[in-house]
This record gives sequence, C-alpha cells and structure tokens, in this order.
Amino acid sequence: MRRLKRTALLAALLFAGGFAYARFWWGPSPEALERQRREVRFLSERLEARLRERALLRDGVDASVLVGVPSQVADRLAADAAKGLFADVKLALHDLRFRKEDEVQARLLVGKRTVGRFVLSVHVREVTARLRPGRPRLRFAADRVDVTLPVGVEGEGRAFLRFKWDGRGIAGAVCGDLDVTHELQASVPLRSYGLEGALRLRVDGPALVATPEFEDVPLSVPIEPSAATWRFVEELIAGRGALCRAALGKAEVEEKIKALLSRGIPVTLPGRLLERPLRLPLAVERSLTLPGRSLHVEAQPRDLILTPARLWYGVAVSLGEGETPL
Amino acid sequence: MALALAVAAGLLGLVSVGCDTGGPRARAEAAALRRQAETLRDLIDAVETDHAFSARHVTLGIGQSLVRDLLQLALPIEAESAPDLHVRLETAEVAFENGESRVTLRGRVRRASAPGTFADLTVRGGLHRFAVGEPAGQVTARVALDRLEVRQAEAEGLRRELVETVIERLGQPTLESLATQIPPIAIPLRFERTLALEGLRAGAFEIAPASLRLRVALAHVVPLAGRLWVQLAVSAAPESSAERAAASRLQASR
Repeated sequence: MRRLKRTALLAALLFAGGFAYARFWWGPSPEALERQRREVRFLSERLEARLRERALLRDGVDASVLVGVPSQVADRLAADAAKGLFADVKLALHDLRFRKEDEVQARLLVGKRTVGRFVLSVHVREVTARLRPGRPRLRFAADRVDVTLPVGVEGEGRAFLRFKWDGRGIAGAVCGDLDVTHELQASVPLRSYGLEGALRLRVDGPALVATPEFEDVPLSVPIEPSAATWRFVEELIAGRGALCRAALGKAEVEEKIKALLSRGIPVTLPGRLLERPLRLPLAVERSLTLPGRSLHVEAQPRDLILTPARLWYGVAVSLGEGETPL
Repeated sequence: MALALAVAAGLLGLVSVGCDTGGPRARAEAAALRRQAETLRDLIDAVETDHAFSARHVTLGIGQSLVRDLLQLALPIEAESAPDLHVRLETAEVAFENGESRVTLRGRVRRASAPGTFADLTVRGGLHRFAVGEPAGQVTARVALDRLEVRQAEAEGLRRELVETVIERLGQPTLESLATQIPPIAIPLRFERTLALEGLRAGAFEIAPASLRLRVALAHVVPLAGRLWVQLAVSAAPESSAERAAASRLQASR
C-alpha cells in the first residue's frame, strides 16, 4: 500500500513536471503562435486605421521625412507669432495740418445776416499710435493659408489749435476780432481693422517657407482732444458779452473742432510691412558631422499638401560624403 | 513497474499540452508577440482617448531607411570579449512595425588567436531614449542591444565548440560595450529654438525687432508602418531682450 502511494506521488510529480516543461519551457504550439500573430496583425491594422482617422496620417513613398502640422497647432502658433513678433508696431505721424473756414450766419431782427467768419486750423505736431494685433484666424486651402488678422490702433498726440474770428456787422462791433491759440493734448481712440491676406507656402530646399501676402490697408486715425480743450472753448465763449456769445454759439466751435479731428488722419498700412518670408522653424540639416568625417545632407522637397485639418510636407533626405574636417 | 507508470505519467503530461510545441525559439517569439500586442493595445487606447496623435501635436514621420543609413554610418563597431573573442558588426537593418523599433546588426565573431575561425553573428535590439536635443533641437535616439544569435560557424572541427563558446561568453556586458560605441542616432532635422523678425520701417510705420522662443517637447514616439512617428508638443513665447542677445551670440558662435 505504501509503495503504491509512493508510486502515485512520483507519477503525479512527473505528470506535473512534464506539463510544466511543455507548457512553460517547451514553448507554444504553431497554432497558438499563429493566433498571436493574427492578433498582432489585427491590432496593428486597427491602430493604423485609428491613426488615419484621427491624426490623418498620410504617407509619402519617396519622402524620408514627413512633417504634419495640425491646423489647431498652426492657429495657436500664428496667434503667438502675431502677439510676439508684431506686438511693437508703431505709427508715428508728424506735422499734419487741417483747416476749416466758413461764414457764420444768424437770423437777426432785420433778417438773416453774416455775423462773422471763422478759420479753425489744427497743426498736428505729433501722433504716436501702436498697432495691437488680435488673434489671427487661419484657413488652410490649396497651397496657401488664408489669414484674417484683427488689428487695433490706439495712441496719443499733440496739436496746436488756432481759432480766428472775424466779426461782421453788429457782432463785429460787439465781439471784435478774435485770434486765440491752444496747445491741445489728444488721444487716438481705439479703432479696429481686419487685415485680410494669405501665407503662400513653398518648400525651399530643406525648409518650409511661408510668405505673407497682404494688400495695402487704408486706415483712418481719429484724434480726440482732451477735456482741457473743451474747457478752453467754453471759457473763450463764456468770457464774452451776450450778443457775442450768441454769435460764437452759432459758429459751433466745439462741434467744428470735433468734426475736423474725428474724420481721422488717412494713413496707409503698407502690405510690405508684413510681407517678410517666415521660415518654419523645422528644417533638414545641410550637413552631419561624425567623428572624423563630415556628411553632406541632400534634401529634396517631395510633397506639400494642405487639408482643412492639417498641413503635410515631405522631404527626401539622402546622405553623401562631404569634406573631411581637418 | 512503478517506474514505468511514473514515466508514462510524465509523458502524459507532455502530451496533454500538445506534442507539437515549438521550443525556445517559439517561446521567444510568443513573448515578443505578447509584448507587441500589449504595446499596440496601449497605443490604440492612447489614440482613442486623444493622449497620442491628437491635433495638439506636430507629427514627424521618419522613414526606417533613413534611420538605417544613419545607423550604418556608425558601423563598423568592434569589441574584444575575454578571453579570445573579437566581435565586429558591420551592417544594420532597421524596422518600425507594430509599435516596435527593431534594430538588427550583423557581423562576425572571431577567435583572436585563430582569425580563420569565425561565426556569423546577428545582434538584435531597438531604439530607446528618444529626446529632442538641447540646444540643437534635433530628435535623437540611442540603440540598445539585447540579444544575439550565432548563424553559422566556419572552422572545421571547431564549429560546434565555437558556437557554444560564443553563446556562453558574449553576454550582456559585450552587448552593452557594443551599444555604447554607437553614438546617438541624430535625425538631421533641426527645430530652431527662436523665430526672429528684423526691425523694419515702412512709411509712417515701424516694426521693432522681435523674436519668439519656441519650446519643443517630445510627446510620443510610435514605430509603425515603416516609419517612426514622433509627436512633438510645440509652444511659443515672446523672447526677452536678454534672451534675444544670448540667442544671437549662440547663432554667431555656430
């Protein structure tokens, strides 16, 4: 009985040992391996399909290097570039002159009569404004990226204001002539413009180059006098007699100044200001240096494809012997 | 009688699993396939949850033939393995498939004392330690070697002995010594760290010189369909004048 038990135990141990050897050491059967290979193929195809759907991966047979830039990244980088590279654009205007003259008529007891003639001249000594770019909007299309760039213009200025009044008739007798000057401080209130243009893309050797194309943009820079100017006008009128005040009131000095300055100074924002080629910061190296040797890297552009979601470009890279460094 | 019974039970154990199992080579392949399946499942999960290959990243697709050419430039590499073996690896193959980068180096191992006695050697490994270099902005990777196979030995009467010696003595230290001789594989692509714009005056307008500092970080690397797909997170920030001056100095020194 005891011997039988020993034999059974030995048989069980050998069975377990044989099983473990075959299962864990001997290796899987060809069928099991084939199942695993099928699973890997299936997962690989599934991954490729997911990548083509989501990342819109594409392939260029001849291109050793493909670069894909999603429109979301391009949008973000363009916003950063507009903010970082065009944050300090100044507009400086000097020595601009505006003039407005007219006769002022009023209904008097004896009918409508000319009560005076005024000449309002403004000498803008200096206007300084800054252009503040907003967030650009990009749209990928064919070989270009359409760009809409909102720009705000805001600043300040100094001007010399002269008001000449030549009183006529009764007003002339009461008011006499006036010739007053005033140094005025002004602001350039924020006004926004939309610049429309495009980035023309081309692969230049090892790099992708975007050349902005923008038309000249006509701007109008309005000037808004400070409160001190309006106090000056009020005091100018308030210090006169009633008849004179009535005559000057008819001249509507304040409104005339406002109208003259609020039309704005016409300025052209030249497109060439923005039209400077931007080389995208990713490029193929021209040479490789290894211990004791230098290699020339030849880069041939292969593909440039823009879809609404992504920009792809491909470069065929080949390596050739360069000059050996001394 | 008892012994016969026990042996029969052992054989039964073998038969119960299947007689056509494939030995160490099949076991190694099964382990590799398990790893690949696991990697692929992780990648599918990452893509489906937008953690990889999202619209937030710039994608580089680097062909395996370019990486092979770059790796080939680092060859041949040689190592002496005590006491009498000399290893020289001369050719490289690179494959990017199923989420794995595979590097195969081929060459020969010889007896230093008898150069006519040699065995063809295949060393396998992969790329690892991917990085975007500072300050050059190049994508780099290192080669790791993890196993070797002896294909064929040439030396009458010594064949079996040489193969056994090679397998026994060329261990991990030799593989590490060979791998350290391969410099980092640098993809010849440069990510400029700054984007600069010269100052310009046009009419009443004047643009001041400005520059942007670009930050590039490696997000994911996926070897697939013959390419190494490298995902980069790129961001930009205006550069201070001090940083601009330092960048100009660096540019000038290049």
